[in-house]
Amino acid sequence: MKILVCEDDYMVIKAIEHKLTREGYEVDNANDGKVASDKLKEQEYDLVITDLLMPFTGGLEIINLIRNELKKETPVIVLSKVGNEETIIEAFKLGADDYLTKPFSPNELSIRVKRLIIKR
Amino acid sequence: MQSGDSSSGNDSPMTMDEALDYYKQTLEESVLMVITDEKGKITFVNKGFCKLSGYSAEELKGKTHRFINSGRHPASFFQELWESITRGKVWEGSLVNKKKDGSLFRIKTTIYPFVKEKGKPYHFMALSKTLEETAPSETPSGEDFFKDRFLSQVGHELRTPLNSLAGLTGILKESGINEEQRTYLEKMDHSVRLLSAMIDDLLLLSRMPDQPLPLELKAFSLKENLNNLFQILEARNKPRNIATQTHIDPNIPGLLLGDAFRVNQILITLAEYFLSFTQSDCIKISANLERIAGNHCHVLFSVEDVLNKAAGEDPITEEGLTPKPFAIAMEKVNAIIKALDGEVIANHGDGESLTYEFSLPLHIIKPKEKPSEQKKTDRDLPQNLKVLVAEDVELNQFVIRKHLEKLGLSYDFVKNGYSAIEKLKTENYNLILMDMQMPIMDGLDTIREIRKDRHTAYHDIPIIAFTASISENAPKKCLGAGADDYLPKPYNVEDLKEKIFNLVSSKNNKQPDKPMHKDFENNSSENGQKKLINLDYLNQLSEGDHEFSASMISYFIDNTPETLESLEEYYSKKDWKALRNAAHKFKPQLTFMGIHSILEDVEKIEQSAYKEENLDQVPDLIQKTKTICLKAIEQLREELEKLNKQA
Repeated sequence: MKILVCEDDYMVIKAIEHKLTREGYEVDNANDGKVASDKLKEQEYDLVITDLLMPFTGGLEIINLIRNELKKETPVIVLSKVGNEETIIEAFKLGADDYLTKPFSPNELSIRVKRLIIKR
Repeated sequence: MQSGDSSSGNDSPMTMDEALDYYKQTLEESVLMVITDEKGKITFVNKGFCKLSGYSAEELKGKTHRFINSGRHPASFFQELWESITRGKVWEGSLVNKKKDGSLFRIKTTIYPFVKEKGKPYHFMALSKTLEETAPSETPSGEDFFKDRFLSQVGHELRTPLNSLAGLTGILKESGINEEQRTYLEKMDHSVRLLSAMIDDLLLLSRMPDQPLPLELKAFSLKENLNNLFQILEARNKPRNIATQTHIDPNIPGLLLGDAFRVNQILITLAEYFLSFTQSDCIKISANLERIAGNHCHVLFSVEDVLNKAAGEDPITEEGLTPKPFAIAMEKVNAIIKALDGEVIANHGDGESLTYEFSLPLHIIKPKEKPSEQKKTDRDLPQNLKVLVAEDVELNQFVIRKHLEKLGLSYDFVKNGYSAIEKLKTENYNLILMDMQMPIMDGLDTIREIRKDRHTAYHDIPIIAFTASISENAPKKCLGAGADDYLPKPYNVEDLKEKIFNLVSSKNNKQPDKPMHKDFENNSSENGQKKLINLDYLNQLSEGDHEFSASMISYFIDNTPETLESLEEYYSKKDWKALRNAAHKFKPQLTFMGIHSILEDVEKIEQSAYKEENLDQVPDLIQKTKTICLKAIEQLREELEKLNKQA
């Protein structure tokens, strides 16, 4: 199972990577939207976790890319700060499957990831 | 229009009916009832009383209490009793009477006078329960012993599937269902709890008639409560073609503290009685504000129905209408009202309608308390908690696991007390959830074992005991063995959360110096400085991987000075957008290191830069952030050293 984490904060990437690697997933990362777009076009992932605010290409554009351009059903979890409902709703409208607020609980992350992957 | 025989229940939807019938029957057997006229002459005795006294109903009818007087009470005793009830007051006390065979029996009696308008009582009803005979020769008979055993077993059999139902309903509610489904589930949940409480009472009342009812205070909305009740009654009464009305005084404060469940039980028991007893086609439940005294309000509840015919004649003495349900309803309701410090205003049968009124004091919760209270448990439950759960039943494990996951707690499961102790020796936990019924080593023994040795690292970990036992002694036993709190099954996630929250926060208050996580959680660092960092979250993330923790800390130490400089630089260049981004990005890093004291300031910097408002406060905020971060970095270096030693 391969997961792409799109997030510009090094520590957040490391934290997610650490948890998910321990859970047995293969984790790849992209620290800006451009890198993320390129990776998504080139490779297949079983799940994408994306921050909303990133340099170059934001999280919403990433979701748009996956759903509308690449026409893929890859599950997407959005990372957002608390109290950002409008953007989260926007993300859901574009086709995001779930969201996590920062700072995230590692167990919650693990459960949400597992659930989406099992669903598929 | 529906036909008259619709009560045969062709679509009676709830198993609650059956439970209620069972409930009534069992209670009836444990209640003794005598009705007298205004002069004290017996007009009615029930089977229970005949059986106990040894007299037949015919022998007792027309006699006064003197007929069974044991001579144990002084004349003044009866004088006071009589004075009290003829003035319309409810009397309560214990009486020793004489059986037909000359032996004595002791009963606990409540006498209800029935008053016409404001006049004198026109009859009295005495409801009694037998008290344990004090004579030394009397020992519990074998029959009683088996009845006890049987009831306890039936109770357990009934509760086990009910617990599962409650647990699964809870999980379903969390599983991404739509609003309509949620409404149904809420109702289902409500019914399950009601049924569960009824079984509890059934067992409690039939086994220990003189034990006080356990109460549970909770914040609740009376309006919501009545609405739920309305829906339940509506569903139940549909086949009987009886309408239900509820009315709630808008002046009643929105949020109250009290035992909502008991209030419901009183109302539902009364409603049940009214519905099964009379020919009415409409029942009305209302709640009116009587008065507000300090932080309490007194709510006057009334249950009434409009009788179609039956004018004038008192329904209780009417031929063909058994007073049985009434005896139970009154007995039960009175006990609960009393337990709730309420007052019965038994005003009965004025010809047209039956009315039962009672007043209850309820604590008012100030509106602003509610959100903060809710958020408190939502937000402040520490994220790093690790819980050890000792529970052998798989379905229960499943339910607990779901709950803990929902609370964001990490956990380990063991299936018996022995494994729990083994686990405690090797791992650190912040909390133990312990089922009482387990194989090999049960909950009580395990708790005692954990608490026994003060030199163990685990001897003072808070313990919450789960118990499915309805025995009143169960909580006492748990707490006596050393548990800090207990939860009767079935419980809901909110209760669990609240108990965990209470324990964890009180534990922290009580022992501020006690490190929960041995490695990190000291309140002050070694040089006596105030601890600016809190690595709980990082520890939770690392799951014991010191290398990971070390790498995160190193990253922070290496990069933060640069971040701080960039904040100053963007401010001096008035590059608000860059300042906002830098502040925004800094926040998660502070969170990882648990430098909570300046998170708010950094948020302020971000907001000021975003809105371009209050920009003059920014230099101070940056300065403060810088000072604290540099100190925090020193503390982080200490931690890093420790980690490297361990790794």
